[in-house]
Amino acid sequence: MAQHRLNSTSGRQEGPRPQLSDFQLVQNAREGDQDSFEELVRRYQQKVYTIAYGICHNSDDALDICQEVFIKIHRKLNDFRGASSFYTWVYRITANVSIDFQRRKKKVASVEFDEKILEEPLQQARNAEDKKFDPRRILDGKEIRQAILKAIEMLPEDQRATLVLRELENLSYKEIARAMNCSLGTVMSRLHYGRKKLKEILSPLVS
Amino acid sequence: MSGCPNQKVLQRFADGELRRLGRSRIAEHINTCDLCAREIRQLRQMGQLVSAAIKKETESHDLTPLWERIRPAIAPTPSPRTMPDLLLTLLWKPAARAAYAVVIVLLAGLFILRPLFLTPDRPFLIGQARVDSVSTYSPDITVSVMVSHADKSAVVWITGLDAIEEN
Repeated sequence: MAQHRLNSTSGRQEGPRPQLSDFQLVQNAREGDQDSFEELVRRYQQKVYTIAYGICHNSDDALDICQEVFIKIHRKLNDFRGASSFYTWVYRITANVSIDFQRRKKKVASVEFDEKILEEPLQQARNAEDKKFDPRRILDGKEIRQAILKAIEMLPEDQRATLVLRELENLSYKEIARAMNCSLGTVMSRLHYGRKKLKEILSPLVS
Repeated sequence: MSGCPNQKVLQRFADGELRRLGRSRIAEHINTCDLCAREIRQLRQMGQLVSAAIKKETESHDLTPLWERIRPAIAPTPSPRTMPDLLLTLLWKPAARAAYAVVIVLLAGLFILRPLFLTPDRPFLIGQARVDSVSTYSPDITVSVMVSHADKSAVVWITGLDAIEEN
């Protein structure tokens, strides 16, 4: 029973409304309550977008992926049993859709990386007076940020997706393996080789 | 350095994926090995950089259009239509209405002209003979009189008796 539904006409809340759990929203959405599904989208759109962007590195593509992810989630609402958290289910779908999307675009290994792009930003980083490692501070420089993103983009899509799930979402190897339908060994291997490549490029930025 | 754990083990340590025993062994080791300590620090810092770079890049992106793109795709679809529903719907479309009109006219025409097609075999001319009169007594029975000019003899032709016998 969808007892705590959202306002079905405006999509906005009328007065104070108890914060519904993901599971309650899923239940309501299953019964056709579109506003509950909208609430789920608003809760997770930023996270889904960030993972998608981390894998595809293009804002338009990331938005397309988000759209595909949420439509797929809506179609599969009845498959969600609540055994794991809703977000676990969401990031699994996001990872799969993002990788499929990338494969469809056939962008694999098409990125050329020019190491010169890092020279100046790295020099700035070296010259920084404060030697304490502070990612937010390092990334204040747009060039450095772009260079790091470019370096991630160079990785093969499987390594990139594994790394993004690990570093962005802090997922365990087991969770990544389940999300990407691969073994624990594959996850470790992808992380190892992905990081090795990144380290070759980014080592001047880390102590 | 000899006795150092391999890269994959260090990676698992940095990611918190080692069990307690393995974890304490590595922790002990890196207290005395700068090389491994540096490796682990680099792995962690690199992870932070990757995460922060992507988050910082995406935090300013506008996601407002997303819901508007999703909504039409998830709008409730009407339940599957039955054939009568479909025909009623089509009734209001001009092309379908024209088609219905043609079908109705054809059916009406066939009904009106039905006797022409259903009349039992007609008498026909044989040589100099001609049909002199044709009388229909019922929808089933027709009596025809055929007169020959040659010898003035007459032939009475009755059709439809089969129907009477069948009844």
